[in-house]
Amino acid sequence: MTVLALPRHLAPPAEEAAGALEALVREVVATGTPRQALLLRLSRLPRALPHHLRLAMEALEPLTAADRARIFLLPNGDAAVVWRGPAAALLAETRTRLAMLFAGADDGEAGASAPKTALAVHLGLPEEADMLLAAATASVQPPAPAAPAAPRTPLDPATLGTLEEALGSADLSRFARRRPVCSLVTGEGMKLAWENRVLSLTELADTLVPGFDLEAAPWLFRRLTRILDLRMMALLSAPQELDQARPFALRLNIASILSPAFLRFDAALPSRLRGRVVISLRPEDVLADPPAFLFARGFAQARGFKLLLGGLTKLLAPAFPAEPGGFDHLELAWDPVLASTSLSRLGLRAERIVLSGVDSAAALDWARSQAIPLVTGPFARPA
Amino acid sequence: MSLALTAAPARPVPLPTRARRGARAGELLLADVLEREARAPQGRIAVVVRLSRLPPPGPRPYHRRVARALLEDCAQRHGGQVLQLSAGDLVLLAPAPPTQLADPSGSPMALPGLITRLLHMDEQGAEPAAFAVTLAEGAARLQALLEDTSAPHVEEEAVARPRNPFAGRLSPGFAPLAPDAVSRLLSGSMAELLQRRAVARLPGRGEPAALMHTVHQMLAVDSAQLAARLAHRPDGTAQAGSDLPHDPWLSRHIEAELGRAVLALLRQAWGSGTPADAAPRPRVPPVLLRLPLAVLAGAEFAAFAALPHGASKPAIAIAIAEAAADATAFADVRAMLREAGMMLVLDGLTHHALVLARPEVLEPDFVALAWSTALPRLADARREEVAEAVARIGPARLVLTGADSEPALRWGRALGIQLFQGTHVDAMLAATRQLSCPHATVCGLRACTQRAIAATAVGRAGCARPDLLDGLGVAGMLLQSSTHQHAARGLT
Repeated sequence: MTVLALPRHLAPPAEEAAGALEALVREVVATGTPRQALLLRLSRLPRALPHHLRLAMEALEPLTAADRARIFLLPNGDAAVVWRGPAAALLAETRTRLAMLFAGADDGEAGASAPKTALAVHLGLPEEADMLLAAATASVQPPAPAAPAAPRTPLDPATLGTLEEALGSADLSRFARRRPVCSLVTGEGMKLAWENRVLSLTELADTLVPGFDLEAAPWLFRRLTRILDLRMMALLSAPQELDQARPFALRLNIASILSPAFLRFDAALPSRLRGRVVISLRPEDVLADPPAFLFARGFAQARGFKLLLGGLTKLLAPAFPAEPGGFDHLELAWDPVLASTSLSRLGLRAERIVLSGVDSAAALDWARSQAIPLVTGPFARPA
Repeated sequence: MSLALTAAPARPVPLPTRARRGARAGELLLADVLEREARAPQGRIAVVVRLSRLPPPGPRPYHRRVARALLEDCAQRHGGQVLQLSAGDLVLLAPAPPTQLADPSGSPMALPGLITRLLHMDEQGAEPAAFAVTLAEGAARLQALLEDTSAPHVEEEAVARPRNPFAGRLSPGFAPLAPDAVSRLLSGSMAELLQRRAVARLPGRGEPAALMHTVHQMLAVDSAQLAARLAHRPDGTAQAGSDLPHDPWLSRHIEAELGRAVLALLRQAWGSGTPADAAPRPRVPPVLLRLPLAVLAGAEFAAFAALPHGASKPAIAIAIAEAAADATAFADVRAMLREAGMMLVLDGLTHHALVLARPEVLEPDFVALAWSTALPRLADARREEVAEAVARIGPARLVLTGADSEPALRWGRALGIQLFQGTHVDAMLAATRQLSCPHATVCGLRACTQRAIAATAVGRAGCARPDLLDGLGVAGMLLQSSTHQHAARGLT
């Protein structure tokens, strides 16, 4: 089998192929680089036989001559070729071979709209990357299902009180996490805009109040964020903590901005970060006490902080025009239903938007189509 | 450069009466510095923040904290010192800044503008909250501060709080929740916490006053009662957690607990009757309940909604902060209420919120706007924004809540608002009742108003014509029977 003798960079071993394909597709999506792919779904044959693999290699062989072609033999028997630029003749030859070698099987369709039974699917990247990613993910045998997690108890006021007391002295630095927010630069992939500094709530709950779900009672959770804010600001105010820090964002309650802890944090902020720290607020907090919000906004902006309004959804965004709130950024949560609408129909202007929860190529694609400058989520990784 | 404040003055400083009485360090130091400047001018300046002159409800702790931080930051960078006077005003004494500063925004002279913007955001003709003067030219103005006895004495913010072991390490204004605070709140009689507040339609210009009528009876938790219940242990001692209603998030959680209890109370009161028994209720104004989304989406509300309400379908108020926290849940509840034929009122909006958000996008039937004495005094630009928002929503869909005075009604009616709620409305309704009540001279307006507000039989005691106390009848119609009183106690 000649194809199996391909150099490693062209055809990684089967056990690495799914990960390698996924990495390539994410990179293509992140950079917006056009690529083409042919996905050969041998696992969908009614009775996949060992010789099918050899037939597939023979069928795909012409495409390996395309520019920057890479072939992936996935663990479940599927195969994919990804290449750059036009290769109509090579693709046509491949299709002919497929028709001959897999006579009787459906021999190929174009695009993600191809019927589920189609043996071969020709995809344009990054637009149709989700289908290729799904194939890579599905090709790996899922691990045996773990025993179902015991249901967690919602936080109650008495436990909240105990937890607040415990948080007064617990070391929270081990729960601190950084999540990148990236700017989308055409043709250059993503660049880090800032890091969201957050606490891992699951780990915190597992350590301090095992068995409890901190977020199940939403208003008690919001109350808990008061003390988490104070501890987070104290963490950041510690000597040397901010010396090497990159620009970052903190989600804070308005009451926290007006607390002595914030004044200490503000005093500890090095001048090189002044004007590069984002404070993220929630709409319910803004509306709970608008005079406090307006005061905090004026104060924070006078001290050079950028303000972000988070928690916006397709339903909520039209109710919060950016201008009256004086926000530098509006964070819109990705939802597949957004794909059928546009920012202008939601009354939003792209230049202030951060699209959060970007977990698919479709999300990233929509962000690019709307000229959204900033994204965060599993698909937001700085180059 | 720091100010030389330690050397003794050449002659005794004539301290004004107030400063002598209070013997406060701030007044003493300011008097000292003024005296020295008079003898040997050094061109120093003072930036004064008149927190004592903020309009009601006056400065909140964070106003003082942040203003002080801004002054101290400036003092640190330019040299100087911050004093607090006993009325709460803050004074920064600093050397005069150079006329050409690399960053003029960091100059002490820029502080009054910033602080005034922060403190007086939208009131017309308000006295500037801060000003800067040279000590030489502003001596008389500063001397007047020392002699000002019109403002109340203000203590500096307490750093430590009793019963709060983390006060020093955390933050003033934040105390861990007392573990029993919420359960204690919910441990008393629910009916005693409730009030019935009328939402009335006021006649338009030229229409007879008799057209004023109650369109909804809002069943609301009396915040004073709630605070009283929290502030004291059964043994009468004050305790931590009494600031609980001031925490917006805990308040929401408590509202959910109270809402479930109120629904249970109403189901007990109304659910025991057959549809025929419920027949008189269409004659009384429908009840208006403020409930959190979590309660509206739950089984308790479904059971309440299934009661035979007849033509008096309850109306439901939802705080806009609830809708903002979970717009999807809000949309689901809105659809459910529409299907049940119940009106949706979006409430919890101040005039600031009306400008920051667009409540009409959330498609409520009514929007409740909280009255503020600042409304008639808004600066031109802000007044126009509020008027635009009212026009956008539609004045016929607005309810002005907390209307406690004639100016409130005047302001609302000038914008075309017809629905009002508040103590002034309660008093007007009582006055109307008394016109046709033969016992009016015995009771008086105040007693009649209070009885109409009361939600328990005890609160209505003494009224000889309870039929005139138009309303829901939780107390008057249903809870008077021993069964229902028992039901109310059952919630305790």
